[in-house]
Amino acid sequence: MRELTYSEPQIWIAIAFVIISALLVTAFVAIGRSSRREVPFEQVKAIGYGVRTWWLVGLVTVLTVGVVVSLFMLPYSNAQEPVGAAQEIAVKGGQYYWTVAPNEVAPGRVRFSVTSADVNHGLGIYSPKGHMLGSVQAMPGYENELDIQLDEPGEYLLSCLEMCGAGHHKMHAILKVAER
Amino acid sequence: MHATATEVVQQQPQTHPLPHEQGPATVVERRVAWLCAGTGVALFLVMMLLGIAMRMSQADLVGIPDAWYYRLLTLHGAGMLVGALLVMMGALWFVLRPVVEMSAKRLLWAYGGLVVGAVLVLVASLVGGFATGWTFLSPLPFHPLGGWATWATATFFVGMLLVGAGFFLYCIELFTVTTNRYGGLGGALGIPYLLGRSEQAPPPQAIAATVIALDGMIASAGGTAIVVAMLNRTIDDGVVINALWAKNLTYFWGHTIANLIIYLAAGAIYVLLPRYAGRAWKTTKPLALGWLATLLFVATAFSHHLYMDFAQPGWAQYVSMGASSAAAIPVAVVTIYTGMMLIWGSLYRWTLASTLFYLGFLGWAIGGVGAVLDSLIPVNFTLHNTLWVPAHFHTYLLLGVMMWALAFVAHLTERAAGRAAPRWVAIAVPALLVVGGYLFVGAWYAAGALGVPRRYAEHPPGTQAYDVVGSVGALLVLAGVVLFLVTTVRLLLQARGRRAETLAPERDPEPRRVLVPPVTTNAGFAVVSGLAVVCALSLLPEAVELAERSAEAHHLSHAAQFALGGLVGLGVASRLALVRPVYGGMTWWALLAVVAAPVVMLLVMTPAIYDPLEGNEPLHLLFHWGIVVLGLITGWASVRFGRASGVAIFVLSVAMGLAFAGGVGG
Repeated sequence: MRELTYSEPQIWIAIAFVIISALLVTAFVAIGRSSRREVPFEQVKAIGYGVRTWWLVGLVTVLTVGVVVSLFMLPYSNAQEPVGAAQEIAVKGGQYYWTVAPNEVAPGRVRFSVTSADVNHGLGIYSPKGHMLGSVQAMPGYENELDIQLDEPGEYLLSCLEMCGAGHHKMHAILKVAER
Repeated sequence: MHATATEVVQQQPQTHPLPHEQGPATVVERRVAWLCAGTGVALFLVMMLLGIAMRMSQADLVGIPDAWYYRLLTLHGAGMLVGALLVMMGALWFVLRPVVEMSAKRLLWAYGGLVVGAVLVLVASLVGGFATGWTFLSPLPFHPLGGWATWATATFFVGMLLVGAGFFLYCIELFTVTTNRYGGLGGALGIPYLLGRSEQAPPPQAIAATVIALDGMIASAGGTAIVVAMLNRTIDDGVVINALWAKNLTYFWGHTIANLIIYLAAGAIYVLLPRYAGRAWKTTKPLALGWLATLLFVATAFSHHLYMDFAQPGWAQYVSMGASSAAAIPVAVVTIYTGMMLIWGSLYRWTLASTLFYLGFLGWAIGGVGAVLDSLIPVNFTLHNTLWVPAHFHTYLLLGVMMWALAFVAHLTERAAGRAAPRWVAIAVPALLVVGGYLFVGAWYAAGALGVPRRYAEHPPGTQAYDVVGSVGALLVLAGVVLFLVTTVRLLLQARGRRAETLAPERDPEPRRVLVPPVTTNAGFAVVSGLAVVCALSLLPEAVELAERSAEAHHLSHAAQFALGGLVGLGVASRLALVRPVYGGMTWWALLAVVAAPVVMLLVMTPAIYDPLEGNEPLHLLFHWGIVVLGLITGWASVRFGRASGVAIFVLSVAMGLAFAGGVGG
């Protein structure tokens, strides 16, 4: 088993979160400081309601863009182009193991067919460098199909991402992607 | 020698009085508030200690065996949920009672359900070893691998049933009093005011209470169905629960209730914050509209927990993504924004309580950002069940809800003591909570962005630096909470002997109103009769035979029989209430009936109970008529809650049966 590594964060998500949080903190500091002086409430309302309209428009715009863009980036296999000659990998989770067949594939597009032998599990897929590529749940009685591009040769870590009992944190497996 | 808080407060410009200088609460309001807040904060403290132990174990600073880690995790989640619910239920009750008549006795029943439920969960996890996480996703509770016994599973689910029943009772109380007081559901939501048909609108806390109660009742119906199904499976191995159905209902209940905690808090903030800002928080059209939107968004957001279940219907995922994102709009544009407008240039009176009230908004806002990002499906694809998840919900629960819970306790304390907490405490406690709290969640955000999974007893080598930082942050939070509690106790001790002076006389009870029953018109009675006739078809021998083909069909026929009894009870009791007016309404037997009868209906839908009857025709018939009687009791009793509440209770009880039929076989 290769060492568990987690590196290369979801950098854009982290940056977006830090920037928005910093703006919020700045606003809260400014509002807190403003409370030391007195501004007639009528005046606050006159300005505040105007600003609120723009705040509403801005927020709705950002959220709408986020949702619409997301609709074009869905991970669901039926939302993507046909896989064609992709390699299929059957993955079954059990307390506390993964069966991965085959456990070695060539670089390229793969389709994970994921299910469970007992309870709910979650299949997290990490690149050889430890970057989280995505996840899909393993649910008893259901088969979830995930299409994903695995171009980089090396050992991909598969970790359980749904609490499944006292051995949950020990539930890992390796998928090898061969050299070209 | 530092200046006392009173001196400091006196140095500030005196534009508006502090809460303890304003009108006092009545003895009932204060006792209920202290009971809920005291129990909730005590639970917070104990669960926080468990949480810190778990965090330090991940950092390898203390050793907790794996099996115990997951037990503590289960208890921590359920205990925190109950603790936060209790404080915020008390806070909303406290601010609502001056405007609508609420019963302290009924609140105590709800309180009892939550507390006894929490004790049972504690026994199940610590003594019985039950360790599935508080979300108990089926079928994990039935695959213990030697970790826990069947009695522990049963104890856990009885406990969760009681927790759910307690919150359901509370929601029934809120919904009944607000809808009866403000002219039905539309009136209590402020719709006539919104449409310009009325100048009068309910106060903001009443609109909030109505929305929370309705969403809470709907979620409780789903919760009852899944928890009873799990109990049935515990009793009878032959019960088969569809895993996708179970996950949907678990999160429909669990997510919605966890989400409602912060809305309960917001309802209380509408009244408490203005006491420090000296500006009233009034109902406006954006506020009423915002809560209408919240009603919809809170009830439809839960499916984001199933984004990575590709078997979940696509429409549910898209509705959830829209609702989860849109839920931010009323919060950001109405509630938080208005709160900030009230504070801007207000000469806000900064005390321990008011500082914590203010900071709670920041926790809600930042936690909300983390949540909205994760609610986008492509983002969730890489963050699902990583440490990002506990990071965001701890931001708004620890740095939002707990901040407000402590603020509420400080508010009660400052009122009782007649003075604010010392200034250095009013600075030190928020500073410890903010520095420690954001360090604590910040370490999780960072590890979550790296993809480190959540709910791991042991973290992989190389990530423990985050655990150490998180542990230090958690210890700082603990220091802040301990300092807060010591200060609170000292102030309360000083307040002894003064309390009697600060109490307001109990209000005169409102005149008892004539109850408007759920059905009043001939058209209404015709609809009820027609539906009853349709449901009665389920008793025909042909229908009974047809229903034997599958357990799901069998359960569906039971739901129809229950609905038949309910419609008859609802119709007859409504007609009687029109002939002979009923005053008041919510009696203990009516409450017991509407909570217990549907649960019994679901509990008996177990093959182990009804299979042996199928060979004995009279007994089989009696069983079906028994289900009709359970419906009759529910329908009859629901009339005691008035029109809106009665209809909601009846419809939801039938919905429990239908939901059950959708996923439970055998």
